[in-house]
Amino acid sequence: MKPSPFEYHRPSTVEEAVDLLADLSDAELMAGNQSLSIIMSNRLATPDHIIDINGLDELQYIDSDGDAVEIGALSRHCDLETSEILREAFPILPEAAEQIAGPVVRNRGTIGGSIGEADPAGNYPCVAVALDGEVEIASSDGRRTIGAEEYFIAYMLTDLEEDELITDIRFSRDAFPISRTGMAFLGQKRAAQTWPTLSVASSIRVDDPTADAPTVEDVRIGLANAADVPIRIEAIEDELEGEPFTEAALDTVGEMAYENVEPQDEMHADERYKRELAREYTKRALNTANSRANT
Amino acid sequence: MYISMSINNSDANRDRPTQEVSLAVNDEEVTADIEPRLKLSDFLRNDVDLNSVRIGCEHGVCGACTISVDGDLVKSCMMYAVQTDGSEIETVEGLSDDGSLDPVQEAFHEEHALQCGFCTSGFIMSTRALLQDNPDPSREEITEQLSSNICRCTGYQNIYEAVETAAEKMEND
Amino acid sequence: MSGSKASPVDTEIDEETNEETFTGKGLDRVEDHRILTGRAEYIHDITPEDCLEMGLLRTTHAHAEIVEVDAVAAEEHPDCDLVLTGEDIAEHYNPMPCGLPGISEWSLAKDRVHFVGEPVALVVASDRYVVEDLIDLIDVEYDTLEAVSDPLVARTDDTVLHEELGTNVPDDDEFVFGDVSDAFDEADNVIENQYSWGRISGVPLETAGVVASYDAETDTFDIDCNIQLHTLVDDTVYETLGYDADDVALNVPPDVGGSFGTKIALHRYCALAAMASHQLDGQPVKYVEDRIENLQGGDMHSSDREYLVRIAYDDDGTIRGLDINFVDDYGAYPRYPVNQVLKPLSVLTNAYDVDAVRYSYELVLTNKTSQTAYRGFGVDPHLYALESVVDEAAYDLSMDPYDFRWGNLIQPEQMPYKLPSKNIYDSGDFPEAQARIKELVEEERTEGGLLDPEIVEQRRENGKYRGVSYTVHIEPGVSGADWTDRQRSDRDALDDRDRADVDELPEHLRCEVGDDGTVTVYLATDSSGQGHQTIAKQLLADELGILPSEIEVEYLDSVEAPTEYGSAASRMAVMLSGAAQGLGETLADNLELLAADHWNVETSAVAYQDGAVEMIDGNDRLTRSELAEIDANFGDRLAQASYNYQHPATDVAAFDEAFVRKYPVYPTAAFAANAPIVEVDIETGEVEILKLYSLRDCGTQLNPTIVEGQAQGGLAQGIGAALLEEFPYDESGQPQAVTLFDYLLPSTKNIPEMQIEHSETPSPFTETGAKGTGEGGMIDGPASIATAINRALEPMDVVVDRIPATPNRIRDYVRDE
Ligand SMILES: Cc1cc2nc3c(=O)[nH]c(=O)nc-3n(C[C@H](O)[C@H](O)[C@H](O)COP(=O)(O)OP(=O)(O)OC[C@H]3O[C@@H](n4cnc5c(N)ncnc54)[C@H](O)[C@@H]3O)c2cc1C
Ligand code: FES
Ligand code: FES
Repeated sequence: MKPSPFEYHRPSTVEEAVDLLADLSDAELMAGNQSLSIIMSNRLATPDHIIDINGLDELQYIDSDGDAVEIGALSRHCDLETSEILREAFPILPEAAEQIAGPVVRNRGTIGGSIGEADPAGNYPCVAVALDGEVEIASSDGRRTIGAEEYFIAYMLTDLEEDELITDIRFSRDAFPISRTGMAFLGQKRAAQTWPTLSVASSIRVDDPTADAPTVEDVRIGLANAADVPIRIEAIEDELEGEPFTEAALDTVGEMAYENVEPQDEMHADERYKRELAREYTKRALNTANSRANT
Repeated sequence: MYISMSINNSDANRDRPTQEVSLAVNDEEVTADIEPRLKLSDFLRNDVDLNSVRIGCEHGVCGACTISVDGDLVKSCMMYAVQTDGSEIETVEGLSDDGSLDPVQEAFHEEHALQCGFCTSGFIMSTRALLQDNPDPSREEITEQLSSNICRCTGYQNIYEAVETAAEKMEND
Repeated sequence: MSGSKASPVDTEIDEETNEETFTGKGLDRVEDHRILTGRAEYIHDITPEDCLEMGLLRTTHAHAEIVEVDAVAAEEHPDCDLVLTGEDIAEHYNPMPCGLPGISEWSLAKDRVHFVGEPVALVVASDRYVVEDLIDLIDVEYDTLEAVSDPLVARTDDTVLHEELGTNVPDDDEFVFGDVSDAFDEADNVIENQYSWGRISGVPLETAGVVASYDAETDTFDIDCNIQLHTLVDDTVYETLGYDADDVALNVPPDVGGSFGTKIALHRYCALAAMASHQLDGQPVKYVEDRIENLQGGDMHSSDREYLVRIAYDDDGTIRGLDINFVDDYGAYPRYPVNQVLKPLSVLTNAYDVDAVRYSYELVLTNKTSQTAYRGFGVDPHLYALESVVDEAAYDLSMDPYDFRWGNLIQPEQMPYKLPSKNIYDSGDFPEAQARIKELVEEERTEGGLLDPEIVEQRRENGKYRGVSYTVHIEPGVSGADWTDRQRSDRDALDDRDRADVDELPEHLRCEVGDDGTVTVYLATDSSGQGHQTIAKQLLADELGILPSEIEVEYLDSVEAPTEYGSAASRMAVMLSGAAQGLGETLADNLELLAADHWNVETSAVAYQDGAVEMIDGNDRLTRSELAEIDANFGDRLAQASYNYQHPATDVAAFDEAFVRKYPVYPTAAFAANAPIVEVDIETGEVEILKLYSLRDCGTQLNPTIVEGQAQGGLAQGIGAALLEEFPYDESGQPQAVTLFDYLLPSTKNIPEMQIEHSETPSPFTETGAKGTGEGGMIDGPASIATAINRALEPMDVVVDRIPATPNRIRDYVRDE
């Protein structure tokens, strides 16, 4: 399990990094190396050049203003996990972060790496898809922004070009006024340090939490490892929006989750079982989000 | 105190490109000419002779290779040594230079928190980091922190005891 | 001594009050200090000057003909020191000895590969990185063949793995004890069920490692490695090399990072590194297996069984007969632990008194990596299948499984109890254990407890089903050696074998007194975390009346040591204590002789006392260091001793029947009563163990701290086996779990609080009353957890028929209920 030889570059600005990407052929960005190192050790990846972006201090920030939260690509899982700003404004991100591996992996792994890797089981990708995250991308040609749903194309294939670097993940706060919104990230993880079998990101906004039966205004539901990309199920959202939240509606959308996911068989989770998990965790995540919205 | 140690293994590298790194390992200055692909775990074990860094999986799960880099715990099998140029590294060897035991090591011994011992360095590093941040952790906090490490022998019960005993010892110090 | 009555023990020890004896106390482990300070030397740490590294090219095919190995590019590379292929080694060396006759297994595949991960070529270079570069330069051309990964399909022999064998079932047997047909004909009820035990293994944290050096001058090999049982299985290395036992020294470092049986079969690596050093004129060659190699093709998977079990029982719950049949998937080659299918005979009926039992097995070969031993050695699946069918019988009678079990337990007055399969349980009160464990759990039924009926009801309404079961399990200890080659013997001849034909292996121990009076004791076994050095010190300190700190412990290599069994099969507590006692007496006698000689008096005039020899009249005294000096002048004859402790069952005539017929002989029956409290989420199938109660008895405890450690660690492995761990293969023979992301080892998040109590029922058969207990929780954990899940899902009439009980499988049981 030793990687093949590579040349090592350590830029200190985004500009230098994208220039290197433009100049070098067969180059790979390295952030936390918590995924890349494994495929390099197996020699499933044998890049000639490694561009270590850990020196890009400009990408290590978590900001929030009235409109949006912005997370620099080099923010570590532990940064998200402990960010007061996010706990306040976008609590699903710390919740998703703290469920990744154990604390030592979280000290290194980054949100940019997770979005860059685009594993369909990844925690952040399904949050980004469900909550309309935007991925900001830089290259030597300039910068662009793309919505998460368009970004994830197929199994571990994204819209990111070879010469591009993710700089930032941005979530508009518009749809999620925190006083009326509840969010939840839940899933099945059979061991502390393995990938989840399936997880669900959810959010519910109500019109008036103090009302007896508040009307559900906005629902988000995203699933990880339920298809070859992280998916959002809008039919479920439509089903719940515009009515008060009920147990019966939950059962209905559970069934919709069962029907709408497109999972693959894997070692200890066949397709049918994953549909069942999708049903159950969709219900639980929505239920938790709803009760959080109402407190 | 800085002792200087210079490693040149370019002989083994023949014509593959190397890079020079300079870092402090357990307060000792180390300068080495290394291939960029050299994992930090292999560098520390083979070039700096720090055998407490153990290799159990090389894919980030077992935690036997856990060390501290610039104050943060990392799995050294998932870093390349070139990345640590200018860093400060601490391993178990750095905890006790005169052969005496620090409170965490003592507690692991007293509570029989090791059998084969292959996981032990990683657990000691994880426990120290936990107690530095949180001198009186709850069982749940211990569970979370130590979930980065696998022990195949002890069943963890005595490891919990050891962490708690170490916390007491450190409080009384 | 209180006979065989269990007495509770206090494991807390007070260092102040135990000045007289060290055995039986939780003496701090002497192994710890060097480990804690990072100074222990494991095999991965050993790198002699000029050492080269070896790596292996492994096939990705499950079954294929090798058409051509093109290694030219690698060989011509300036960094390459050596490449060897199967063809090359076949020219110079031998195939590896197999567990059954009729098959040749080469250490590098020759002609054909039989499992994913099988080594095809070896490469040596300056370091592992370069080695892997060179491996990438080798091209192997294959003709793929149909692979067979399902043992039930393999036994039909449509695709045969080894043509020279002509079948995929190289061994099978059937044992009928008592009147089985009558029992099944006459019983009120008979049921039949199938159970699967998934392929699991020990997966120690340290992988295999070898450093081999060939000495051209003496034409001998020195091999440092972490093989287990190096004094027993050294033949697998020297025979492969084609050398005599005396020419190949296997040396195991004092610290080994866990083995659990799995490292018994590392001979492929030892032999290959030795061959490489041999070809390189003695330059040392090191090999360290990486984790993926280990999981996918490391010859280290263990039991993988499909059971078909019948049970005959009367309406009142009396078990009349058992009929246990299974197929065990051994992977590509039947390696040494073929007798893993036989060991369950030593606990055939577990804690139940049943006379009529049929037991049959088929050992099947498939395109998977080979089996090795794992803690429990085949007993774990047996207890699981047996306890599961017992649950089904109880359900069938609408009887509480506790009562059903209770009514069938072997009674204390039946001890020692001879099983139908002729092994003997030495001592124990099983009903008391079952009652006690239930009593311990009763507390949980009170208000606020885990089993508070109100809480249980509430949780159930939310789809969370709680349950607990009470099971008693026997852990057979201190294996004999003679029976272990049963499958390689002429079985028809066993019926009229003589007791004199039985060839047991003793435990060897020797020591010498140094100039400073230090007694150095040499173990002929290897250790992997069990604390043997501590125990040897404790035992010998007591025997010699000196302090543990006055004793050093060292290890013998395979040439210095006689062939002997070593540490496996829960042997060491008993064998070491017997050996230490004999050794202590022998050394005292020797020192008395030496002193008497020196003083020129009769030996009756001198006495060994507390580490020195005195004249009985009190006029003179010689310390150990003085004696050592005197002896040095007389040619080193008497300030040393050596002792071979005979296996304890050899003195007990009741075992003769088992011995002569080569039935497994395990003269100690440690036992445990377990009560895991589990909660099953029926919507997701997830199982959580809320708490685990266990009452354990391994006779006299030599070191309660170590006993407790073994219990906790074993139970954790039992939990892994029950819920998490498995090496599945797909139909084409591709392994599915080749990293620790997929082979799930329990972490702090999977292990519940354990409440463990110990009692001590001394063994009447052993010197100290100790029973072997190295395997415990791994043997009884899975069965007890499976039955607890059954209990939790009782409202749905579910019986867990597959281990591990993954969430997916649990859903398969409950979804249609
Ligand atoms: C034991 C273990 C358990 C884990 N469990 C989980 C889990 O449960 N859930 C989960 O989501 N993840 C899990 N992970 C993965 C972890 O979250 C990784 O940290 C993450 O997926 C990758 O982040 P990284 O910063 O380490 O990226 P790297 O490994 O450095 O890179 C991954 C890929 O992303 C690319 N990349 C990195 N940064 C950028 C960027 N800024 N722009 C463009 N491309 C970039 C790289 O080129 C590479 O291809 C686990 C990892 C381990 C070791
Ligand atoms: S060796 Fe680094 S985590 Fe296992
Ligand atoms: S003590 Fe052996 S792995 Fe922890």
